[in-house]
Amino acid sequence: MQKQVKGMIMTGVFGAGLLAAWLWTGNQGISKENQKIYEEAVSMQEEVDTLGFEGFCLSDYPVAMYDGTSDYVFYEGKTWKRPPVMETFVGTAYPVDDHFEVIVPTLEQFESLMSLAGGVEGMAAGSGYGASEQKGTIWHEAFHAYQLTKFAVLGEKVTPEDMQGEGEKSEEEWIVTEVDEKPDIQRKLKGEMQLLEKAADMLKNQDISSIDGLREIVLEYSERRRQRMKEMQKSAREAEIRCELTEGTAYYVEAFVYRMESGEQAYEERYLDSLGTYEGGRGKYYRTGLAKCLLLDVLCPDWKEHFDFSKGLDELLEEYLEVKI
Amino acid sequence: MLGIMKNSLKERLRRKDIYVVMALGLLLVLLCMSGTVTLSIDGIPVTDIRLLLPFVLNVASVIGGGMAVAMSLGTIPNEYERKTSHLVWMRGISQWNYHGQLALANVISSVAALLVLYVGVMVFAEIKGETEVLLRSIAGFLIFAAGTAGVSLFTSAMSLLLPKLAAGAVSAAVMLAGTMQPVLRTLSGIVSGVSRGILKGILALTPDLYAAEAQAGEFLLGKQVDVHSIIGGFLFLYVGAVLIIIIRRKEA
Amino acid sequence: MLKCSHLKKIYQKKCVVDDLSFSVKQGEVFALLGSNGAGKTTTIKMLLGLVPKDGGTVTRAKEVQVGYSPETPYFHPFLTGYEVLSFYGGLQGIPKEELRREIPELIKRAGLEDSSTKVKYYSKGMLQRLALAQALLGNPNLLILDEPTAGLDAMGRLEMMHTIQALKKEGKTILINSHILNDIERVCDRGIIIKKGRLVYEWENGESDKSLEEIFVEQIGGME
Repeated sequence: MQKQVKGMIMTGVFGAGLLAAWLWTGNQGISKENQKIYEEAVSMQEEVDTLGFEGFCLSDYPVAMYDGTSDYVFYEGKTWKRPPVMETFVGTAYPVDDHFEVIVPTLEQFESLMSLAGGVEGMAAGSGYGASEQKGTIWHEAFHAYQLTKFAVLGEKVTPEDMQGEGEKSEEEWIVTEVDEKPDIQRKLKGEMQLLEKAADMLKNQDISSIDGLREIVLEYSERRRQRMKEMQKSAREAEIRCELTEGTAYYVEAFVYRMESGEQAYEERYLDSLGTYEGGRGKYYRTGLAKCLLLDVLCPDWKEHFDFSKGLDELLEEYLEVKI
Repeated sequence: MLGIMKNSLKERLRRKDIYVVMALGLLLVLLCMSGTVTLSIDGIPVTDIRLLLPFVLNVASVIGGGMAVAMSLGTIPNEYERKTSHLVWMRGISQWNYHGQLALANVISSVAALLVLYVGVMVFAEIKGETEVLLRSIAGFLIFAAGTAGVSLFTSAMSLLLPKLAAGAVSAAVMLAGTMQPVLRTLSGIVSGVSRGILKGILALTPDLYAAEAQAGEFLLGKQVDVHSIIGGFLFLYVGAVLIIIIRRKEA
Repeated sequence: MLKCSHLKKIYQKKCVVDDLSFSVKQGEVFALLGSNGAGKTTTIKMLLGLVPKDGGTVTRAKEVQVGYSPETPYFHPFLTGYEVLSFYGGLQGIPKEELRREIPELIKRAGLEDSSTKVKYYSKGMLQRLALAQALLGNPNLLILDEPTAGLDAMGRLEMMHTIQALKKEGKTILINSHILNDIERVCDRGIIIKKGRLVYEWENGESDKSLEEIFVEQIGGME
């Protein structure tokens, strides 16, 4: 009997030790790897500045990493833990009180989702998700926070309060019903995307000796796009323009960061090689938007000088073409 | 001293069904690795071992968990059904010793079945030229097997407490909820209202077996492991063991 | 050697053993008698601690070692007869060398011709013999035999009775539960008749002119 009591006590002590270790390690906060990712992302500010978006600074926005149970917020050199604001499984810019914050899942969360669910938004190409991709995502979402904080996108200023409420028909819904579910529109858009890819290929191969050739492609693209747009409802048109403008530019920043991190080849594989890939929902406009930013870089290098998100990317391209024509 | 456990293992070795289960499990894992079943992200197949390994390990852990439930569910109830328990009880063998040895036999066979799958994955890694992975494989297996051993113990404990069908359902549910925690967490972030409450409850009540087993993948690839998740796996194992000790039957 | 006082067992609000008291003396063969469902097997299970009592006490001298042969002997079907004995002997803590010597003797004694066949191929009679052999492991001084002749043919029954008589001669105390009254009368010294869980008659071999069968019919309520 005494032996049994001894055994019970030892089992209890062992269990208590295990539980204490579990609780203690659970309270250790965010892993060093995630901290390092944030710090390295912030340290890229100088390079990102060369892109030329005025007043865009990552450290202006709190960055929260969600680990499945809590948010770990990085801001002004401090890190703190709080209950999750939004249990997100993708990166997002989200209103918190009176400002916008970047919220991303921790790398572990991303990885676990990837191995179970087979990928997340924005991972159309390339080979998985690691620290470089996470830095790209942080910059991508910070760019959204920048858009939302400083600009009236296409003349419409969104406040944190606006975003808290439920909207009417979302951008995604318009795109699905008016583009993805309309075979004719979809076919036309696919054709346009191929033209954009062709133009981007010329950029990739640095075949810009014939800038006129590039302009020809863009002109054709522009015309076809205009024709297609005529066949679409106003709200769907607006959804497309808005999505391409906000996501395309953010994707452009993300791609830039990824290129810095992973080198030219990985950048091309992940971003350039899939520019012509059509995908349901908003995803395709990340790519068309990126393609247009890259074209603007070549055709109109100073396009970001007075860039204030008041016009769509096409409008900018067309302005340039008109001037040149 | 461990006669009951040895006897239970002997029974499994003499019954042929365990080999069939193992062969089927191995076949599934091999299918995942051979390219017949591919992991693709937005239609683009993933072939890099460093990306495929966590996925394949996760598949192996779900199959291994299923095998652990199947192999652990019947052992203790069978002893009582065929009344071989009478001749054990009357010899003064305590319940915790009796059930503990039977549960240990369940753990050993579940972990052995998992090992078969794991060796399959390691052979795959070797073919892909990841020799470093092999060097870490033994310690990696200890991390990997903790969750499966926990599932086996938990199933044994449930089989003491509930009718076979209910015990199987509860254990399988815990195993699936545990190995699919990220999916549940994601879902809980998407849905609202009652479903969200239910998912939150499930998440709170089930161990994060996914995280525990995923650390094996991290370790194998030489990445930093999350000690908290590993301890979580062992904590589940401990809870299973304690349940085996404290749950008692009234009659032999 | 063994004393039961006021044993009680309730199953689903029904009292299946009610205030049952008896004692078994050293060296005697004691019978538990009663019709099916009278509570004999439940009583034996309470004696062995296989089911909890709802009342009463069981007192057993410290030096008493019990061997038990169950009513319907079930063994692990994948083991051979020899392995069954080896397994249970091991559980009793009998050293391996001793088992190697003891098991062949027990096999011979129980009349178990083939101990190398798997138990799943055994006939009911063979299982009974194996059950007796395992009950004798470790040379216990108290044997509890629940229906030891059930399933045996005439010859088998006779042999079992001889074995029991021989065990008695060796000085073993035996508690038998059986409803084959001829067998009981042949080997038992004393016994009790139970009806609906209650003791209704204490029988002693040779004390009455009436046969056990006659007494049994009187006590249980006659044949219908």
